[in-house]
Amino acid sequence: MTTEAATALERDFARCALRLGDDALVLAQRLCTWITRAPTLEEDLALSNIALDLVGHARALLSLSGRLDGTGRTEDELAQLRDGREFRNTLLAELPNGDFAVTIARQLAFSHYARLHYADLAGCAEPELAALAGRAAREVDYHRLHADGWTVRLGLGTEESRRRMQDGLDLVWPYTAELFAADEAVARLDAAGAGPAPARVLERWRRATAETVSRAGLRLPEPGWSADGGREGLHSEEFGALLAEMQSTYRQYPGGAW
Amino acid sequence: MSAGPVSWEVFLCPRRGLSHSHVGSVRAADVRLAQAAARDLFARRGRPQSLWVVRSQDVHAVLPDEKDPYFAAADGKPFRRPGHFTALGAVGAGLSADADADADEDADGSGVSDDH
Amino acid sequence: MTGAKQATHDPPPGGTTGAERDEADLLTRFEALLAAGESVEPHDWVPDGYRRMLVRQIAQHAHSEIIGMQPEGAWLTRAPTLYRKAVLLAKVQDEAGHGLYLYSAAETLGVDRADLLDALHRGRQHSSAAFDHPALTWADTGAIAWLTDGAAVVNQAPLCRTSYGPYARAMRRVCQEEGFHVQQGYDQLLALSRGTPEQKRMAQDAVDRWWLPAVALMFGPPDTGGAAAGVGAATSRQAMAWGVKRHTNDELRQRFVDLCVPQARELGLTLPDPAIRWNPERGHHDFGPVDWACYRRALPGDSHCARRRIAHRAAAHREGAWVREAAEAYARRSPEAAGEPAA
Ligand SMILES: [Fe+2]
Ligand SMILES: [Fe+2]
Repeated sequence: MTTEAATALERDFARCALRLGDDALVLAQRLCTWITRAPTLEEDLALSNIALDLVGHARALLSLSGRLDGTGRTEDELAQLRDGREFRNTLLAELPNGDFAVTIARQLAFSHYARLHYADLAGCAEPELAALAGRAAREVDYHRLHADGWTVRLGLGTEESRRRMQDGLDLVWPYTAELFAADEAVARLDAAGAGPAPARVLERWRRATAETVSRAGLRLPEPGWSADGGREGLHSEEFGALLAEMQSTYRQYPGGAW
Repeated sequence: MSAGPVSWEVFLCPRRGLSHSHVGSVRAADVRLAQAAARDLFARRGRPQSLWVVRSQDVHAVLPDEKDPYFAAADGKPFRRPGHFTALGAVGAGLSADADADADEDADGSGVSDDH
Repeated sequence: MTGAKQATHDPPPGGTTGAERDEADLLTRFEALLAAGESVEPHDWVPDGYRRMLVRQIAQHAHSEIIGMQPEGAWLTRAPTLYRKAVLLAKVQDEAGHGLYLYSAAETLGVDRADLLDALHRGRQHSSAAFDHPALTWADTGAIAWLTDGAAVVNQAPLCRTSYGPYARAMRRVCQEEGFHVQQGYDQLLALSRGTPEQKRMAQDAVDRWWLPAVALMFGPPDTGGAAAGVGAATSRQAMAWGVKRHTNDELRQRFVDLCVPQARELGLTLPDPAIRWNPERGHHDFGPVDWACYRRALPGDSHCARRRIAHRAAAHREGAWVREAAEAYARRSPEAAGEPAA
């Protein structure tokens, strides 16, 4: 892909990859702070494995975005040199971790969405995106098993865990709508039949998450409101701190080699 | 009486054509957690064909004190061992096809050699 | 008593054997095993001291793996590139795995992981003081991997042949992964050393701070030669007689220094010991005497950083209690999930 030659279609795919890449990156960043703090050593391992997969997705998606948008920016230039207003991740991904139940609630919402949406994108018209979406779909499918298992375990565990898991779902659910919202690029790709919009998996996502939540003996939240803004670069206040931390080393050594 | 998650023995089959070998044990409250822990601990490298977990208490070892009555009979029967008889020479070469398969097996049963 | 001990390792080590063998007879058989270079397995009778030594050593080793996750884990969110973030994640994850292999080996000796963790949290058992230093810059993650893991490899490679089977098998897995870690640390420092002058300064500073902890604390007190050796020598002799250890602390320390000197040269970094020079007569590098006063000050629990590490670990454990309880309660409520045949 040469710098001048990015077509309109490529630019739309670049924006699509950026949204996906930013979600993966920011969620991985959140999961990283669990490591050494998880409820068991086994979960230290499990959460770091999930974070590692997500970093892998972020790397591939951001590199692809930088190539397709004609700027030639690398994964690290995109991750480390953009300001908060330029990040396109959902508010869901950047939500502070909360307790283990909040983290699991977010994992439940995200992994079900990601599994379905990546599987759709594996058939998209951008061959590189299609290939990596196919691989990512298989990996997030394991994240889904992990989240399903813990949702049920906490839901049916003790009185305290049931309460916490319900609170976690209630807190997280208003942030899930943003996953399925389209911007113009995504809408154009969908209309052209080049890449399905995330809204196409919404019904399947609802059914799948509802099934898990009911197995867990919990109530599926029906929030009367939804949060958005992340996709337009309007993030939470906590996001500034997340970014400052993530970018600090890279920015402290301009021109550094790593 | 100790609280806490129970112990599970983990068996991995590294690839098609090989049998499962014991690779270690994990602690987990339930079978799904045991599988997850085993996956994260023993299958991070390489891509195994299959993974088993078995509750440790369901493994019934022959008692150490009964080792002699059980196994001593294997001694003193050289005719059961390869190499006891005169080699067949070239005509018999095709009969020892097993040798190749055995050489593939993990020598110490640790599964380590299958990590890359 | 958990299944592990009853099933695969029964009867509990040291438990009744039913037969009328007296202790001297058992000891003779144990010593014969060692003499034959056979591995000692969980169902074998072992002297109490042997078991105590192993539990102490394996637990300390396991604790060091999980406490050692902290200095590097603190840099996961600040890794300068996504590639380095992935590599560091994979490494920290390996260390958690090492902890699990080792706790599991310790459990074959009749102790329980929960009790060992409790002893760590309450300060009755300790991790290696090597990790009780703060990781101040990104370069520290490189220096820790190169030097601390490097020392671990030298120290632990002989343990792959240690006399206790479950420990030796755990160590074979551990060592294989530690080898990667050293290369990874070296690679990371090399990039910094060849980077901007500021990056190179950061790398040198990190090596300056992590050299002594590796040389002194990863190998333990001197155990050869003269009066200085003292108690260390006696412990070492016993450990070697039982085949738990294969080399003295000082032999291993020398081997480590000999390995590091040429690597540091290739890295373009200096080891912070002006006394290091090749000694053709000995065929080894001389190096300055380790400041054991500093070692004693760094005894567990003494330093600010050590306290922070344990507090961090204990807080995670405390805050996770409700999750662990939930998992147990769920398993009790649902026997099928617990792997029991459905009623
Ligand atoms: Fe380790
Ligand atoms: Fe390591």
